[in-house]
Amino acid sequence: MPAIVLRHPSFFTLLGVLLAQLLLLSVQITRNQNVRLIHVWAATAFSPFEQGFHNVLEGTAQTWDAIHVLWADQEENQTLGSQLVVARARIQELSEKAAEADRLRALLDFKSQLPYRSLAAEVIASSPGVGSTVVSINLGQTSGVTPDLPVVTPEGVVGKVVAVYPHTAQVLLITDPSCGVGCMLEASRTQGVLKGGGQDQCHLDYVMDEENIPKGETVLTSGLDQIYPKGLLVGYVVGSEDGNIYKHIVVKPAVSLSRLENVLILLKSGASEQRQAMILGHP
Amino acid sequence: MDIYRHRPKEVFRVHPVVLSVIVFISLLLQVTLPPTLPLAHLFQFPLLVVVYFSMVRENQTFGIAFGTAIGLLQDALSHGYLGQMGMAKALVGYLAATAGLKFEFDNLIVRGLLIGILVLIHNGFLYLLIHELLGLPLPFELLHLLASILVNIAIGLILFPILDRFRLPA
Repeated sequence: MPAIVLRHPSFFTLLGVLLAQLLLLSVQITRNQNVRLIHVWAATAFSPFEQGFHNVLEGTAQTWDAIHVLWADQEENQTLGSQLVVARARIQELSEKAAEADRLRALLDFKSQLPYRSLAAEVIASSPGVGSTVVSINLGQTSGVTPDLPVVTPEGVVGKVVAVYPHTAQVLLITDPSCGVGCMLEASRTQGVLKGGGQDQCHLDYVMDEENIPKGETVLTSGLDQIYPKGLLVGYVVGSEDGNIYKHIVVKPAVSLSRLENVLILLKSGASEQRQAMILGHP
Repeated sequence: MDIYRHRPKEVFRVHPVVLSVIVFISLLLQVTLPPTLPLAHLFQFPLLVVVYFSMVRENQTFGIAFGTAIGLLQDALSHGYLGQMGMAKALVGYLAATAGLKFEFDNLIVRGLLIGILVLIHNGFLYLLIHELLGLPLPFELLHLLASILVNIAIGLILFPILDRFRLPA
């Protein structure tokens, strides 16, 4: 018991007696709607604590709910993240397939339009050298592939078969310096020989200086090399300068040779066979 | 004339039977006089009895218990709420006993002043208790309060010498 109570016992006795009688009064007296005063007092005295405690409980419950929701959201987030990764991979896969389907459809359309028999092949590798101008395809001798067959895509000429193996073959791209393609300019019908210049560029040689070669001129195969059929798109003139006798003409291939995936191998080549095929109407 | 107490502590007591009779008579007068004597509603015999015996006994605990008892009896007789008078008279009993320890109670001026002050405290406490705390209707009449103080001082100065005859040295 506190010392102050021991020092003034009578005073605290008085307080106790007064409090007891106050409680007695509060039990007897009623207020509105016959509510006993003690209830009014008790409610008044305790309501702040009740409200405070209620707020604490409610706040705790809300905090717990928030934590629970956050927890669930975190788990859901992780699940959704995993699903997103899978979905993105799936989308990427489907996009690849769609792109492949588009390429194959274009290739098929192109194949159906060609007056030659052809084989669709897939590029499976490129030579490991720097500035590689040779790619490997998944068709070889067993599929009827022979050397010097032209290789094209719907966009234009790719190159020619230079080496054949039982199940694969190597294709020399038109950008290789050793590759020569008989070409002509579409508008002027000026003929020349296209040779690879490396770095995705070619040169059209043996075109006289007096020829007027505008930029953007379309370069087609001429058929004179006995390999490439006449009239296939090769590329576009991007630069032309006069030389001593012949112009220096730079041609950009129509085909993006660094992103080859599907190609067509033309089984019949040569101008005579082309003409024969067109006359006979054989595919 | 010194109102402060210098004598050695001299505590008086009253025979319980006498005390009971006095209490009984005071309550009887309190409930029977007002209907017949209009001025009697200013009389507060039980309060004066509490003041007197609490000061005589000079014991605060006794003052509290005695005041509470008489107050509760008065509440019971008045058919009012139990505790109103009990609280007021418990407070008066405590204060009277405390005053008895400090002041020369046999002095008439002390008696008169203490009676007046304690009647004021008693009535003021009742007003605060009933009107402010309990929220019950109770008009405040200053003239009635002053009249009650004066009347009870007069009664006390007459009554206390009579009661002195019944006190015994403890």
